[in-house]
Amino acid sequence: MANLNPKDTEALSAFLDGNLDPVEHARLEQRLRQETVLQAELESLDRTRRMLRAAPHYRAPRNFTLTPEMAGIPAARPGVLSGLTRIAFQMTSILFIVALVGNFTFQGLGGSQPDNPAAFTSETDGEMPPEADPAAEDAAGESSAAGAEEPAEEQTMEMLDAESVESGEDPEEIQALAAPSEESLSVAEEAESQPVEDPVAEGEITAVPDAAEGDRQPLESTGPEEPEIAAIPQEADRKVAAADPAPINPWSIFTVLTGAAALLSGFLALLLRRR
Amino acid sequence: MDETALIVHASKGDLTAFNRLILVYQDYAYNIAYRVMGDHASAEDAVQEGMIKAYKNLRKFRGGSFKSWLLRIVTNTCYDELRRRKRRPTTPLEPVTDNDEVIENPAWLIDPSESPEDFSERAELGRAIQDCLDGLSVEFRMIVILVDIQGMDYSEAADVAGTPLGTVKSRLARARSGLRDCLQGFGELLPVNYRYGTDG
Repeated sequence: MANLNPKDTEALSAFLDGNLDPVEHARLEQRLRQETVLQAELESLDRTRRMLRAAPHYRAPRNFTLTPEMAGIPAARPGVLSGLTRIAFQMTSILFIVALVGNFTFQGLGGSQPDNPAAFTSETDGEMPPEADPAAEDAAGESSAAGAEEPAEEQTMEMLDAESVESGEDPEEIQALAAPSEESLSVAEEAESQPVEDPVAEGEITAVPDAAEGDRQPLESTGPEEPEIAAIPQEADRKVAAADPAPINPWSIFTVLTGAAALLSGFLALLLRRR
Repeated sequence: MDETALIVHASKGDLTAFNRLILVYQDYAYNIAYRVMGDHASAEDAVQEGMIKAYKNLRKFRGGSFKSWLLRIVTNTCYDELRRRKRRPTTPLEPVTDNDEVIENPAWLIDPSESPEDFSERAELGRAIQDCLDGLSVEFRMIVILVDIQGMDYSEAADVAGTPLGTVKSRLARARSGLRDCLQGFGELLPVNYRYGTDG
């Protein structure tokens, strides 16, 4: 083996692997038939090669998969922007709840306030208490007066009808003249609840056996007219609604806006988290 | 999902896709690292570090054989570690026998199909080969590991080692020659059918 040069060893190594070109391969084969030293070298190299190929192969003792920390991927930490978004979301949520509670509270207290936004706003303004408001007092006084004057008004209508029949005037024209003005409609609206209480009062009065005949007479005479009295304010309501649309409740606007803001900030927070 | 799709996903930052590629090639990488480094702990470190480097440099992969590219990173990591050790020699902490031989982990060598005698012979052969490999310079060692132990052809080995084909051929011949001389020294310790001067 000592007689071999590195080129021969290289050729023999490549010969074993079949990596010699055909010309070199043929030449080496011819030499191998003649040179025993070359044959011995080839045999020892082949044995070494087989030994190496028989060497045990190891399985990886564990998985070498990467964790996000190993790969340098930062863990999802709340950044400044997402923190702000969270705060915004919390604030809008609180405002939304406040708006809802306010809405329900005012509806619960007022009862008919959503139907009468003007009265609602005058109460919520809070600059003056309702008792101290002269306009409210006037309205209340007028409403009670209207309630008391209703039978008189009907009597007037009857008298007008009788006069018109006598004078030959159109009864519809007279009714139009006698119809309540827009100003008195709001008063009539306030007094809408008044006739509901009247039958109870009437019942109480008629149930008293000692009541004077003169006191009972006007009450009995107004009894059959009541449905017409109640109908007048309802018609007036419809006319008012058609002429002047009800102003939007500010609490409702506030509720809708805070709800929309809460949804928007939630959506933004979701987008940021995905990024 | 095929390898190309996994590479595309991984290069976009999909760690799961890259981990699936790791699972395919980790045994190859580990075997090479073990043979180059000579001990299991260092091989584990080198493979893990190589995988991290590969993930971080995946955008630099320009196509071709992903296996060769990945194994090249692992072998370069092994080179770097061996160079570092040369500069700062350390004493290994692995358990050793009375003859200062590193004790192999039997769990990684057990093949249920072979008898205890065969296992013992293979373990002995593996130890002898590793001892002789350790005696080679790292450039020659790498080529013989890739071609004779891992079974790669010359062009693939050239790709992984980053050397020309002619260099692979010459280094392989010299490495085989050196290993033969080393293994002949083991004489009777080698399995009978691998002993030099006998009819194997």
